[in-house]
Amino acid sequence: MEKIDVQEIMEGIRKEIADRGYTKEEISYAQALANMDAASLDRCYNPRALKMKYEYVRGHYNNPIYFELKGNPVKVLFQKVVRRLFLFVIYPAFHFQNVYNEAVADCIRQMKNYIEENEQLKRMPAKMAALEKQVRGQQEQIDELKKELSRCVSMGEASSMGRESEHEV
Amino acid sequence: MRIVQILPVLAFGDAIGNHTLALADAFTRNGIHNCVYAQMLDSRVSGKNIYEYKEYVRQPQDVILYHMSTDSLLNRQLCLHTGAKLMNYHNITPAHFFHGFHEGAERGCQEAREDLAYMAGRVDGCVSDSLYNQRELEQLGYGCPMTDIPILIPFQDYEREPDAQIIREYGEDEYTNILFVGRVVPNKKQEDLIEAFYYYQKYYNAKSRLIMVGSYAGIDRYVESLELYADRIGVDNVIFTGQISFAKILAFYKTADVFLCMSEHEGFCVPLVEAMYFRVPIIAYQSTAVGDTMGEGGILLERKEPLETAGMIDYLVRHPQLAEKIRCNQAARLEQFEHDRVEAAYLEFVRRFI
Repeated sequence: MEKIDVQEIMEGIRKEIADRGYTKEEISYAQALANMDAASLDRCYNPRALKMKYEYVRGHYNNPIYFELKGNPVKVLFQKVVRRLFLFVIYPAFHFQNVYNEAVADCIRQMKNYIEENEQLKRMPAKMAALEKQVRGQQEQIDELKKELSRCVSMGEASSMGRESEHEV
Repeated sequence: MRIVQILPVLAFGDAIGNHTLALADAFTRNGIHNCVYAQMLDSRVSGKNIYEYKEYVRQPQDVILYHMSTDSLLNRQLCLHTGAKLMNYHNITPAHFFHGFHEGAERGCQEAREDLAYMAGRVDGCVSDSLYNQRELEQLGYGCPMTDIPILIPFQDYEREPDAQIIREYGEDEYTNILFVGRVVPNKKQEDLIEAFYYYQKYYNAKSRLIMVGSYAGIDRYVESLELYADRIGVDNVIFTGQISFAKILAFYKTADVFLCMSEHEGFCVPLVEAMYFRVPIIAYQSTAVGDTMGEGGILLERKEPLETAGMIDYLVRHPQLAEKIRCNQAARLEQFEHDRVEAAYLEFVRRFI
């Protein structure tokens, strides 16, 4: 293994930083988020977080009533019997919860779609401004070309009139 | 008699999970009857002899190998087992890192540390991923036979085909790619990566990217704060990939120019070894077990000065001969993590108890 003198390299880097006048700014994590407490962070809109949570809700809103019971066979049998006995209470509760969860998941989907549409709409003015600028540029080009064409046409007429006069003479 | 690996969570793609599965494979290939029980078993993890902990029926001759890394009721339950109990200690993130981000994680880490202290004198042997981890156990009064053996990494997995689209998108332009791989959690200090990258992009190389590969690990508030931070200081090309496929991870390693690590707490840090494998020169802040894992390979920074870190990145990128020396040093260091060597060390340790 070849020894690398990290300290020597670092001294060179510090000297270079000083020579070039590079300075450290007040941009540490703590400084940049100085006014950001947990409550403030909770109020910031985060599209990535919305997408992640929605994906989770979409995949997990339905609670299965029947799931595999594993373990000691005697314990499993007892659990199965108890579950069967109380099914008349469990089933309606599960069904009610699942219907509610589906409604909430659908509600979140609608909100997500609304947000995405609005985000696209927000970008429209900038797109329109860019297109308007492009159109203005093209209009200016067209006007230039028209002027050039008129000039060429006039020059052409003038030279043909000149040739006719020479011919008459 | 069998070796029973027990752990609170067997997650897909997780370093401890991969290590557990690699150990199971090693035990099986060497004729040691074994199985794995996890309290929470990721449905994407499959394999023979892998079960949920609630199916575990204790046998007196079982030798338990418990993976200790987080809070769990299993931590203290393990101590009730009358047979041989071994602990594979992966370290527990200090609770203060989660303060303000995740109350549950903060409380969990605190309780896990209390459990770790409780377990001193109640296990028969400990294997730690690093000397740093082993010293922690010694400070807590663990007097049982202990050794430090690195995480068992199945390097043959890294020979798989990388994602071609990522290679095209990030590897075929003149941009310098600075990579970090690891969960997006407060102890890994991704904000310090962003700050160093800000100066690198501003003063040295505008055509650069900071790519942070890793799952968000349920600490959403921290991830959101990082995105807000990057936006506020006006740094471009900061990419959070989230959890991605293995093929994409391979591709990011292959397109990386520098691996940068500013973590302030690691029990081992598998991505450092991965960077060595993929011959990506490493610049890392010297903290906890980072120095143990890196050894003489890579560049270890004694202090965290983002402007100087940016300068070091630039120096490394502009001096290919230095980068090549670092790659050679890292390759030499990588031999310590060679699969057969680590596997033999584990088998030798475990055989003392079976």
